[in-house]
This record gives sequence, C-alpha cells and structure tokens, in this order.
Amino acid sequence: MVDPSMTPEEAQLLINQLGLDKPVGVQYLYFLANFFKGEMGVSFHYGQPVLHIIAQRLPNTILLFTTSVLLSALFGVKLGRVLAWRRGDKIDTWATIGALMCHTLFLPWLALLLIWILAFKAGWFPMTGMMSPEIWIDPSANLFIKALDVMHHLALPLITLFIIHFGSYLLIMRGSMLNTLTEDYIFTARAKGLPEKWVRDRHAAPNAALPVVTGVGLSLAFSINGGALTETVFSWPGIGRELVFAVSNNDYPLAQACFLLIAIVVLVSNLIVDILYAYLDPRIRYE
Amino acid sequence: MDQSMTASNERSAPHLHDGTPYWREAFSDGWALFSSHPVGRIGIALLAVFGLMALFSFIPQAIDPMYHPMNGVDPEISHATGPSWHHWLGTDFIGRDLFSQLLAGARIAFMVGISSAFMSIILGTAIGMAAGYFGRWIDTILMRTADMVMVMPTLLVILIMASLFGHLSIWTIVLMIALFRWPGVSRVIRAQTMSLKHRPFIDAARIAGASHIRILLRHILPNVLPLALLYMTFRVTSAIIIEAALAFLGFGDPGTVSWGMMLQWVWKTGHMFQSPNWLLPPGICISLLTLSFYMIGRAMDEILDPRLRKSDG
Amino acid sequence: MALLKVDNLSVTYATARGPLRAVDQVSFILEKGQSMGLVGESGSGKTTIGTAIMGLLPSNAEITSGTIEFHQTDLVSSPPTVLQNVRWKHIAMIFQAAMNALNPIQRVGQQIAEAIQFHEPGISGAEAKDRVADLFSMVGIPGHRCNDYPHQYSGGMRQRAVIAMALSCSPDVIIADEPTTALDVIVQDQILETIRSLQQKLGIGILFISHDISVVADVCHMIGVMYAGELVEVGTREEVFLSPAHPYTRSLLAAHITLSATHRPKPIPGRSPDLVTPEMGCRFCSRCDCSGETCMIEAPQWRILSDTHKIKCCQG
Repeated sequence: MVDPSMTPEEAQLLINQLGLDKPVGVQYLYFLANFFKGEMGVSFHYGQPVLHIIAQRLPNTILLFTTSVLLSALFGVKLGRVLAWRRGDKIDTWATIGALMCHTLFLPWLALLLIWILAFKAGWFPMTGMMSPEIWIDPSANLFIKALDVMHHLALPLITLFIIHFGSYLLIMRGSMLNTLTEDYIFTARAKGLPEKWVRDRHAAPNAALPVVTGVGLSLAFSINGGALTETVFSWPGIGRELVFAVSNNDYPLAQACFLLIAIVVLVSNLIVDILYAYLDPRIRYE
Repeated sequence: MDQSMTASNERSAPHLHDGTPYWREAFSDGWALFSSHPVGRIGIALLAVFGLMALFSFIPQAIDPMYHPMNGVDPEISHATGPSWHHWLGTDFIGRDLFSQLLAGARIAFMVGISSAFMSIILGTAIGMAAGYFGRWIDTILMRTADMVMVMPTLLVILIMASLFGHLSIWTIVLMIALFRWPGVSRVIRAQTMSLKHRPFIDAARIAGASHIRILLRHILPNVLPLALLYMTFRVTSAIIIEAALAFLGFGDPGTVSWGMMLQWVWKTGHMFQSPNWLLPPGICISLLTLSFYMIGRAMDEILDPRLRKSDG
Repeated sequence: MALLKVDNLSVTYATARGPLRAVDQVSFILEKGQSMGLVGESGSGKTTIGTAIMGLLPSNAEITSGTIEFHQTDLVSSPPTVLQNVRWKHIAMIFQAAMNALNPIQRVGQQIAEAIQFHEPGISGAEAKDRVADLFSMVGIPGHRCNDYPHQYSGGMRQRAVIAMALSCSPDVIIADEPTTALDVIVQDQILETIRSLQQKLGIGILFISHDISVVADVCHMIGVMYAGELVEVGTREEVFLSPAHPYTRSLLAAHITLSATHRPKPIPGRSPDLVTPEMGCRFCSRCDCSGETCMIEAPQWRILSDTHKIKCCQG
C-alpha cells in the first residue's frame, strides 16, 4: 500500500510513519479519524494532499450531476405524463420505443459518437475538458464569460447524460401513470366534469410522480456509474474521473477518498429522495 | 378444497390449480401472449441475430488463422484500414480483423450476461427465499443488506476491487457483477415466498414432518423459480453493460476480446475520428443486444401484469 | 315534471368473447323531487346505466340505442363539451367512498372547492371555501376537518364528503351508486337519513342504485328491478316491496334476511345470466319457478298492473 516508486528504506520509514504495520482494524480506525479531520493523505500521483484535490473536483461533479438529473427528470416526467394519456396511439408507441432505445445506448459509445459528430466534425462544441485555458488565463475575461465558457463545455456531457437518462424517467412516469389511470379518484375527477388536462395534470400526475421519486432513488447507482464514465470520456475534471485515474495509477489514498466521497453522495442523495417522498405524499407525513 | 391438501402430494411437486404444475401452465399462457406481442417478437428476433453471431464466432479463424480476433494479424496489413473484401469491417490498429472481433464479442457478451445473471439469480433466489420463509430478524438483516448492496454503484465498486487485485479475469468480473446484482431478484422472490408460505400445502408438508430445507427446495422453489427466471433478463442487460464499461475503461480481461475492449482500443489509439468502421459496430451491438433483452423483459412484464396489457378492459 | 327520461337505452361492451349486452332496452322516468331506486344483482346493468347517464362509460362500451333526455337535450347524441357542462353542475354522482375514491394527496376541502371553482368561474377562493364549509355542515362533518386528507377520515365521514362534493354545484339530479355498501349498518342508517333529508330539503331527483332492496325501499319512492340488463319490474315502493309481481322480485325479497323473519332466506337457484349470448325468451326463466312454456320461447312484454306498476313477465 505504499508508493511503488520508493526505495525499500524510504518505504519502511513511511510504513512506520503511517502505521501500516499495525493491525488492519487499528488502521481502519486511524483512517476514519483522519478522514473526518480532513487528513486524507497525500496522493501518490499528484503529490498533493488528497483533500485539496477532492475539494477542487467535487464542485465540477456536482454541477454536471445535478444539472443532468434535473433536466432529464423534468423532461422525462412531462413527456411521460403526456404519453400515458395518449396511450396506444402511434406517437405513444414510437416515443416509447425511442425512449427505450435511448436508454439502452452504451454511454461511452454515445459520448464518443457525439464528440465525433458535434465537436470534431461540426465544431459546435469543444471536445473535452471543462474550460478553455485561454479564457481562464485571460485576466480581462469577466465571470460571465468564464461561466459561458464552462457551459459551452458542459453541453456535450450534459446532452450525453440527458439522452441516456431521460428515457428511463419517461418510461417510469408513463408506467406509473398507467397504473394511476385505473384508480377510483380518476373516475371521480372526470365525474366532476373537469377537463381531461386537469384530470391528467392535477390528479393523475401528482400521484403518478410518487413512484418516480422512488425510482430516481433506486437508479441513483446507475446515474453515478454513468457520471463517472461521462467524466472520463469528456475529461471532465470531476470525482468520477479522478477515481478511475487513481485506480489505474494505484494511487490508493486518492482512490479511497474518492470512493468514500461517492458513497457519501449516494447516502445523501437517498436521504434527499426519502425526504422528498415524505413531503409529496401526505399519507406518509401524517402517520 | 384443492387436491394439494392430501399428504401424499408432499412427495411430488405442488399442484396449485387443476393438477397441472403451476409453472407449466404459466409458461404455456405466457408463450401464447408473448408470440403475439410485437415488442417481444422484435426482441427475440434481435436476440437470434446475436445468437447466430456468437455461434459463428468460431468460423473466421477456422478459415484462416489471420482472422483470429486476438492474435491473428494479416501479414499484409499492419494498421487500421477500412472495410474490404478480405476484412468486411476493416482492421484495427495492428491489423487484426474487426469482423471476427465483433463475432467474438458477441460470444463474450452472451457468456458474461448469462452466467452473471444465472449466478445472481441463484444468489437472489436463495436469499429471497430465506428472507421470506424464515422472516423476523433473518428477513430484516437480509433485506437491509439487499438495500445497501442495491444502492452501490456497481461499476465503481468493481473498479476499487480491481485496484486491489490487479488485473481481473473475465470470470472474476462475472462473479463480482453477480455479487452486486442479486437484490432486485431477492425482493420479488421474497414477496412470492411470503405469499406461498401460508398456503395449505405448506402446512400439510410441515405436518407430515418435512424439514425446512425440504419444504424450501421441494415446494417453494419450484413455484418461485419461474418468476426468478423471468427477471433474469434485466440482470443480463446490466451485466453486459458493466462488463463493457469495465473493458472500456481498461479494467477488463486483457485476454478476451469484448465489444467494450474494442471500444477501448479505438479510443485509446486515437482512431475514433478516422475509423467509423471500427467505432460504430461494437457500440451498435452493445446497444442492440441490451435493447433486445430489455424488450423481452418488458414484454414479459406486460404479460405478467395484466393492467399494462395493450388491450383495454 | 320529468327531470330525466331514459328511453330504450342499450349499452354494449366489447369483450374478448363477443359483444356483451349490459343494458338492454331500459326505459324509465325520474320526476323532480322524486327518488327512484334501481335494484339488481351484480351484472344486472344498474351501474352501467348510472355511468351511461354521466357519459363516463369506459372506452370499450358503446350506447347502441336509446336516448337520455335531460332538459330537452339528448345526452347520448350530445358532444363531449355539452356533457362536460351537464356533469356535476346538473347531474352529479355519489359513489362508494372507497379509500381511493378521493385523491389521496389533495386535501378534501380543496377537492370539493375545485369542482365549484371549475363550474362557477366567477367565484373567488374565499367564497368557495365558505361554500365548502356550508356543505360540510349540511352533511354533518365537523368544519375543521376540511383541511384534512382523505386517509384521515373514517369510512362514514368519507361517504359524507363524497355526498358533500356531489351537492357542491347544486345539481338537479344525483345518481347514487351503492353509497352505503361498504359501511356498517349503523353508519349506513345515518347516511341514508342524511340522503333522505337532503332530498326533501333540496328537492333533488335521486337515482339510487343498489343491490340491497331493503336499502332502496328505505329511501326511494319508486323502485325498478333489473335482471340481466333488462328492467323487469317498476312500481312504487309499496307496490314492489309489499306486493311484488315479478318472480325475480319475489325471489329477491325471499332471499333477504330481516329481523322479523318468519322463514329462512331462500337463495335463488341457478347461475347468473350470460350477457354475451342471452337466452331466447325470458332471461329469468331458467331460474324461475314458473311453468315456463311461453317464457322459454317468447320474450315477455310489459304487463301493466296499475298506473305506476308494471312487470315484464308472461305469467299472471
């Protein structure tokens, strides 16, 4: 567990210093204690404190992750809701098949395809990275221009994630709406003389959205995998890409910290999903 | 009262309805609906195409050793080329035939997908049955574990394991995927077990003196297995995708040619812009194979859940 | 004055086995201020009539003949926009208040206010709230409960809420479909009392659909008995309940349990009728204790017994 490029004497010194010759259990406790103190060791590869690297990468991942989830969810849910209502007609069938096909695309391949067509051939978007070095070095460029530059770079990874994920939101929402359609209160709403749009949007959709929230929580792992792959292909400087690099370079401290961070992200997201569900469903709230 | 109340039935498999074993009935019903379901038919057709690809994967190198996906090098070509008569899809960066790589990839995909799915089904069924049958604290522990495993991003966890073990062989990958994909199956099996637990024929078996293991294996398992196999399709899709992603990132088994591996080569050797003949086929294959299993799974889903069926009423 | 006139209504469902004639040539008149009960076993077509009048038949059902006349308009041939206007504002429905009959994630008061605000666009939110409060006191729900969710209500309270919702736009007709079926006897009694007093106070015409003839006899002035999609006996409450003329009505009453019963309830023999391929002649014949020579071949015609009483039978 020591940097392989060191000499045996240096390695032994480091081992003593890091307490690596102590039993595994004790090491684990040290690790946890250090983690929460903010001392996560020094990256073998970068030679910098791990904490420093993570602090730099985390916001980038959060930016990509949240925008892609929000965009896919909004779009997928809206479309799923409309499609379920038109159930059976041509548009519904084709859109459902389309969503299914989007969902089963292999993410890295889609990413490469988009880079090839939209960035390489058409030149509309930059091929990799999060920012153009010229703009960031330029002292005269203000925040707005820098933000625009980041968004320009964000576009392709965002599109990739969006294509893959909106399909699943659409399918979940559509399925959930179809279940909701058989409920009694839909009949009630129609009996009240309400127009179809009201019935769909005010009665069916809010109820149908509940399983979608749960579905989001369950597919979080899938989204995180996808995020890491996207970051790697687009060289987006985030935690996912860092994890992949760290593993390839046997950079254990960095790999551990990245993984732990991702685990925390998973836990926090699940917590948010649970809270959101409780907020939306009064039956849970008032128990 | 149904026939299965008599103790003599304890020896044979449980018959729930009019004497035909439950699963045979479900199967024949299901098949009738399945073959008339358009999505299911497309899925099976696609699957057949890939199945043929996998079967034929042994042919190219038998014709000429230069067609071997891994080691075969065309003596006249040593770089990436486009499609030609000798090489239907062209060659990769050291002159290996792309088409035979594609066929070999189909074989690997099926192997990985099906074995991994199989293993996770076995694991998930065992755990689901145990949780549903024994209940109480065993159930709680097992299901909490299932929850935790389910939310873990499988790809990243396997990545970490890869860093610990060095290079991974294809079977290690298959095993690890199975270790993380069982929770989905176990839930369904657990629910089914719980509903079966209280049926009269289980009581009859217990009164007749059957041990727990016997009851589980002889009575619950046959009724629960069709459900498990039905949900296998989704396990296959995730296994294929995870293996492809691992290979793409460079953590696959270097001795196997999978579609993900092909994509890694085209990416890492910088040919992705010049060689669409190399870039496109593997990705299309992964997506279509996944799609076909997915379609079959959805068709089965619609068959099992009458409310989702296309016919109204 | 006739409020609602149903004339020769037939409704057919498309099923896998073939067209199912759920309602076959049914005619009746609902007078203003009057309540009429439709009684029959499940599958007799009574609920279908209710949904047909509301214009809410499922997509595989079709009105194959007849008219439903309300305010000089035939609802069968009217476009959906007209139906939407009539619905709730003029013809409302009370149904079984199962757990999910009300939208579970919307407050009860809000759901009732929604109907009001849709049908009377000029009304403000505060006025709608006041109306809801009035309705609640009318049906007997404590006013402070209007901000609760449906799952917080008891079964009886939910039923009252459904009634309040039906009354919200002051309709002329209310179709009550099995409103008391899921409730225990005591609550049932209270609900029926509420319905009765509301009807007397507001003069609404009620079409009361139930499988329970005793409930119907409690509340309704007129009773119609349905079997296999056909109306087989129509009369006043006294006529039908005390001197039933049709063999089916008689069997129905004999099968009933009463506190003062002097005989054991007699079940009706035979199986429920097949509505896809109905029998030739009288549909009840195979279960009837009549001699049945004419009934088996000829479809029975209406026989008038009095001004208000008639049956569809071949026998005396």
